[in-house]
Amino acid sequence: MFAVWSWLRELCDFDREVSVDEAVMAFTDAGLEVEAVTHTGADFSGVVVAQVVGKRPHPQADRLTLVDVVTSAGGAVTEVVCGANNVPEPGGLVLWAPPGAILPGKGEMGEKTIKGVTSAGMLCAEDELGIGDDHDGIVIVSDADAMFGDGPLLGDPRAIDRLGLRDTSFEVGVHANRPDCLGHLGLARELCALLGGKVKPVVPQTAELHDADLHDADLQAADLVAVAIDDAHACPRYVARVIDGLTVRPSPLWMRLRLRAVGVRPLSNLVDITNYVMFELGQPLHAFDYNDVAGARIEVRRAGQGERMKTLDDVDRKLTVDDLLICDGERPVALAGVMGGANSEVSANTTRVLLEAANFDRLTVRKTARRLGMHSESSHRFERGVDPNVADLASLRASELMARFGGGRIATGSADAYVRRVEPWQVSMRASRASLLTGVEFTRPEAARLLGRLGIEVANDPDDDDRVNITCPTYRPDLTREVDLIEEVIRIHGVHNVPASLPERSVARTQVVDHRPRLARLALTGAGLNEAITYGFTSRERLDALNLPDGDRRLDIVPVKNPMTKDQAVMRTSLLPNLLGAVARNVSHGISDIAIFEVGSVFWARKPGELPEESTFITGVMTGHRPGWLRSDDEVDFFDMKGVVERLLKAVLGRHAERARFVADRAVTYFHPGVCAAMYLPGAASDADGAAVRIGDLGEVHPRLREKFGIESRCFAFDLALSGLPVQAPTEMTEIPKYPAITRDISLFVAEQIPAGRVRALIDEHERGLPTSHIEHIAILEEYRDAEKVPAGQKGLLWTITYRSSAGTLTDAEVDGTHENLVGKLVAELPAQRR
Amino acid sequence: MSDSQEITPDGLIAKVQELGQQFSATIEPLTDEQEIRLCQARFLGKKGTVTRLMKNMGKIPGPERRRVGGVFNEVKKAIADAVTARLKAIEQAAAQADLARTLDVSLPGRQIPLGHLHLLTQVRDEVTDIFGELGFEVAEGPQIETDFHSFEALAMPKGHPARAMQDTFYITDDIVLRPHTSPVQIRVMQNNPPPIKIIAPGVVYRRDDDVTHSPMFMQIEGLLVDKVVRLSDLKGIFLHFIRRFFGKALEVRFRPSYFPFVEPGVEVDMQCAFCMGISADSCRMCKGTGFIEISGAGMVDPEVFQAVGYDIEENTGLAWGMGIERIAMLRHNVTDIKYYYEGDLRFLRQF
Repeated sequence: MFAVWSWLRELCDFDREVSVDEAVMAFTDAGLEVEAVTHTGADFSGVVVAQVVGKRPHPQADRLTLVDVVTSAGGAVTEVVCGANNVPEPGGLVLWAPPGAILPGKGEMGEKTIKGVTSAGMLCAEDELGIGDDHDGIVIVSDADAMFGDGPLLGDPRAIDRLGLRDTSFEVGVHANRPDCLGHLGLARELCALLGGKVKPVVPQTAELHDADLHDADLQAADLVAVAIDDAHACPRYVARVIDGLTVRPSPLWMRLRLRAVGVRPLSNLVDITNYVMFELGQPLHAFDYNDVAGARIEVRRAGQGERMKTLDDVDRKLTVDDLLICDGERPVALAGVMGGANSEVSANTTRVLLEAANFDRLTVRKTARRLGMHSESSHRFERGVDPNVADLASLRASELMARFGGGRIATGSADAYVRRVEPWQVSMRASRASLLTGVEFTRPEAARLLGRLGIEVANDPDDDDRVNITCPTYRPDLTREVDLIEEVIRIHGVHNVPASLPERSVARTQVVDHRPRLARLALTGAGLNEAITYGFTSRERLDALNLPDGDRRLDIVPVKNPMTKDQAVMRTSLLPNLLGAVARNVSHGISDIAIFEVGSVFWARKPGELPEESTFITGVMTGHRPGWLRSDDEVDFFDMKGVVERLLKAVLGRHAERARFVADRAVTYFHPGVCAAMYLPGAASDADGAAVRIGDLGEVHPRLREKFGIESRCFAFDLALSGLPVQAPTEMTEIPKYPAITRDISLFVAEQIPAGRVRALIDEHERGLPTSHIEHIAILEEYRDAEKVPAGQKGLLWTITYRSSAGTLTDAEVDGTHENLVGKLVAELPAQRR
Repeated sequence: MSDSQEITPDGLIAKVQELGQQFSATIEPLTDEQEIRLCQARFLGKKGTVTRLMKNMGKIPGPERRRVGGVFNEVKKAIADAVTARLKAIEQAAAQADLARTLDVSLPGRQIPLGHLHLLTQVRDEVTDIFGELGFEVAEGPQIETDFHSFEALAMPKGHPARAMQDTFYITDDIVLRPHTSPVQIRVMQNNPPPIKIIAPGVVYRRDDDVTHSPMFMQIEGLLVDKVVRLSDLKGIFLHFIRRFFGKALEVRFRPSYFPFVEPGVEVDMQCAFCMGISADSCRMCKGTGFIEISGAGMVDPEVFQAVGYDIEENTGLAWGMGIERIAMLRHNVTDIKYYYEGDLRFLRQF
């Protein structure tokens, strides 16, 4: 909401000087944030009102006019060259910037010779004064344009101010709960409450209604229009007035300037006045050409499904039963609260106006405005709630302005259908509750005093000396509960005056903290990976690139109904695509060694109407070279990625990480079929035979997938369900060994296709079969395939087993026994040959 | 030496002394431990020259044996001492030589480079810790939420002007991408009796995209519900937070504001950490106001308590929501919110 300072001041009565800066500060401190303060007319000086006393064409140029002006009746005549084609006839008043005057962007005026004639300064157009963007002609004024003061403008040193050429406007941020502040009157009430003033009623002007010039006793509104409301819920009130004998012409200069300052383009007096009063009182108005309203009748009803009407922007609208229509005796003439109809708008020839000041239900207007995308100043106000009790005042005010500036007269009375009346209501508040909630001690008199400043009627409760009762005016729909009054008390007191304290009691903590994401992040950053955060949404194309098989959960996509772009059309079902996107982005910036990861949510659709499943995943990608200049600069490979994953599992699972199994998997569509491992954990930490749970996979990113992202070098990635990793119980200490260990190696040749994991599984199986296992540690030392050492089709594996007993020192003989059994088992079951 | 030669005590002495001198001459140039040991063996080993010469002792008449034996012992000791001394000298020389080594210590170290936690993770963790000092514990909720938790229960029924459709991403008419972390308040209160003292960090979504707005961003929600909770407590909590997070004695200022789920509602401003409000006119951060807006907050609206079945007379509460990107921007001078979400290593590695 834009506010014009002179307009606000007109509505406020202060017993002292109040500056714009003071008002701006007060508004901001009271929660009506002020932005964009603009001073119009501040950039020119020395401009005066001058009278044209003669004009003739320039002898050397057809388009130019030589104008004789005076600055006082009978004063010295000065010749000015003017390029505009609207120079008034002698007697007309113009704005003259004589030599010495300063215009914005033009600097100081002087005498300038134009095609042989010397021009003393210039006659000004709006844009040259910086008061508007109009350059169609020079500004022509008349004594009727004066906003205040008596006597002719010519020769009056205050003429520029009387014309309203100098003003200040600013934008006030009005919250959705304060519809009353969407008009200057409401802002004036607020300012008076904050700075200690009194609101001046708009009524003095309406007193002029009784002026015979504005009033037509022979014309009765009741004879000219009847109003019927079909839906009292949607339309609580409709006030119609008729103004007759009007002439459509430009509005006075000050009104045009004010409208422009609030962001409305001035058109002509009748339409301008409806806008002007809306910005003054907050009540949207609509002017119909009375001659286009059939049957002298206004009917407010719901539209029929599929009913059509053409709005005044010339668009044919298809309506639904949710829309509310203003109809005349025959047809719709306006879309209630949103826009008038093309069939009844005022035109240049309008002489009689039917003026609508109505009240419409918030949700009804909102629905229509949203559905049709027709947000307007009018719908904006109705959606927030307009006081039905302001309708008649606004109607009177606009009628009076139309009669005054359109040269017409107002029909006596009005057609006022007020079918759902809103009366002031009672709210009560305890001073003690205000103190409790704010931390500021309020006594009852103090609380009453603060509420009273709002112009609200406050009474002490006779039965409760803690309590005040207020009668809430209908223009403050936000004040219905005790807490709403407490808000007003602290707002007027000043929330910036609230002291600082800390809560009196502490609250015991009960939540169990999930450390997994933190542990995982630290493990990965420790391994040199950088954390990225990408959007929760992604594109279908990116998910499609994973080439997932039917039935995969990651195909249970959650689409966004109203995405901003195609790239954000669906929620991600995997972190991998956006992370590959980030890799591609880095590659495009010339970064080739990349190691990044993300911890984030993925979303899988459930049944319609249910919230999707959200799981936390951790996903990483590596490509390029191994870090470090002192080491070989080999490219990273699968085992670098696997090492990172093992480190991550160790960090999150502790000892339990050893139970993770990596099994070759050719079916993961986004990984290379030969370079991919699925990861499993035993079902329950305590149950080694429990069904293994798949926790994720890792591998080389499928070449086809990385090509889709434009990544040329090999990439390795892992994708792990972090929320699927079991939370570990606190680790129990294992006694530090007292007795020495014995190690024995196993060196075998096995068929090439037997994975090391199979060997390991047999060792574990062997260990489980022993009554007491002394195996402490199992590790593979070497896998080799040199042709000179290994028979064709086979590979060499070198394992080392550490044996230790917690009961005593093992003898070689004891160890040899079990170890031989183990080797024998491996040889027989793999099968293998001892080397 | 030959057997035919007559063995005399003095002759034997002369011979062993000669061997002693020979040894000194032989060991003198040796610098290798093994060679020294071999050399020692050639003289003192089982078949060493001194050992062999000793076998002639039997031919020495009794009375002379002691004298001759004494000389043998002297020579043997001299050899052993010379070996020890020589070995020690070599060791010392080696130690000297080792100390003479130099390295170009300006070459970079061999390391696994340190990966970087995302700036927002760091800031979120720090903010969580700071509020944790005041006893707030972390609560979480889903990012895809019901309309009820996101709006209805927060005193924003359908059609409420504060829930501008253009700001919210919808999945269906009743399921949204949460536009704020406030639904977590509702979930926590629905599932727990008062008192409540939580913060809820998390990702939220709004249809907005420019230098300071991202369609996805992070908020931290705070909620304290107890018998006596005051607006002044909110100020104290924010003073604590601001001063800990920015490490400066900054002031906090409230301005009234409106959020349907708090009443009174306030905008929390902090004193500009860049200009401290002193050179405000030229400050690009606070644009001349000396203060920077960091949070929307207020006292929990009774309607919210009603929605979760809390007694509105017994309970008072305060709540706030704060953008993590924003406070990270304020402290780390991040110039565009989009940097947070691009995964650009040139950004990620800076923090």
